[in-house]
Amino acid sequence: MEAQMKRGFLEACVLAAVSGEESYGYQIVKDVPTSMGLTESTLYPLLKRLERAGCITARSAEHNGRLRRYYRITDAGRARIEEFLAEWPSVQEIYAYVEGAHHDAR
Amino acid sequence: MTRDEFLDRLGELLACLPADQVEETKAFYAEAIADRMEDGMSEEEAVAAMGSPGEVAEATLDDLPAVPRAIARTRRRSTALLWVLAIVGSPVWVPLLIAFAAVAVTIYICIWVLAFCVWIVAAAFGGMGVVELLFAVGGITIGHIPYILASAGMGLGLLGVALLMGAGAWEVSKQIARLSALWAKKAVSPFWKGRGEKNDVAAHLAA
Repeated sequence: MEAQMKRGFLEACVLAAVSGEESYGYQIVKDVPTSMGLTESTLYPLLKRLERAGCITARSAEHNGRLRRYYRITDAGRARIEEFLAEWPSVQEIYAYVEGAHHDAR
Repeated sequence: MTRDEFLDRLGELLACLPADQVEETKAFYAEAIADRMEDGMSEEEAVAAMGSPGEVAEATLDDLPAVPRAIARTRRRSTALLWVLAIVGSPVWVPLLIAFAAVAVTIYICIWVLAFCVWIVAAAFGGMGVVELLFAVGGITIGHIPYILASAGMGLGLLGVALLMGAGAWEVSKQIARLSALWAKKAVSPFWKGRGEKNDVAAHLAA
C-alpha cells in the first residue's frame, strides 16, 4: 500500500479502535485489521500525534498492579473519522475510473 | 533479549530527547510487553514482537519535525560530531542563511510596498476629489454655475474612484496578511509541528 495512503488509513483505524470503549496499546494492535500490519512501533508515534492534535485523550489507570495507559476519542477525533468516511465516494469514483480504463485497454 | 535490556537500550538510543519523553516512550513499550506476556507470550517473544530497539527508536524520532530530527540523529552518533559539523560548516551555512533571510525579507518588503502604493494612489485620488469639491464651493461664491457643476462632478467622481481603490487596497492588504501567516507557518514547520494537522486524513487520501 502506498505510504501516505497507509498513514491515513492507520490513523482512521486507530481512531475507530478507541471510538467506543476506551482502549490501550496492545488491544488497539489486536483490534485493527491485520492487513494494516499495525505494530507498537507504528502505534506509539501515531497515538502521540493524535493526542497532540486533540483527537484522543489519554489517562493512566492501574491494571494488575501496574499502570496502563487508556485512550479515548474526542469530538475532534470523531469529526476526523467523519472526514475520512466522507472521502469514500471520491475513492470509489477513482477506483471505478481506473478499473474502467484498465478494462477498456484490454 | 529481556524486557529490561530492551528498555535500557531504547533509553540509550533516545537519550537525545527530553527525559520525560524518554520515560513516556519506555513506559509505553513496557506496558506493551507486559500485556503480551499476560496474553500468554514468553518474555522473549513479547520483546521480539516490538522489533529491535533501533527500529523502535527510529520510529519514535521519525515523528519529530525535520530539523530537530536531524539534530537528534547526529547527536545520537556523537554530540561532538554535531558541533564539529556546525562549526566547520559555518563559513558555508552562515552566509547562505543570511542571504536567504535577506532575500526573503526583501521580497516581503516589496510586496508590502506594492500594497502601500495602491493606498497612496487611492489617497491621492481622494485628495484631488476633496480639492475639486473645494473649487465647487469657490464657484458658489462667485456664482459661476457651469464651473460649480464641473468641479462638483469631478470631485464626486474622484472620491468614488478613491473609495473603490481604497476597498481594493484593503482587500490586497488583507490577503497579504493572510499569506504572511501561511508563509510564517511554512517557514517554522521544519522546526516545530503545530496542531494544524486537521485535514491529515483527507490530505493523505487525496495525495
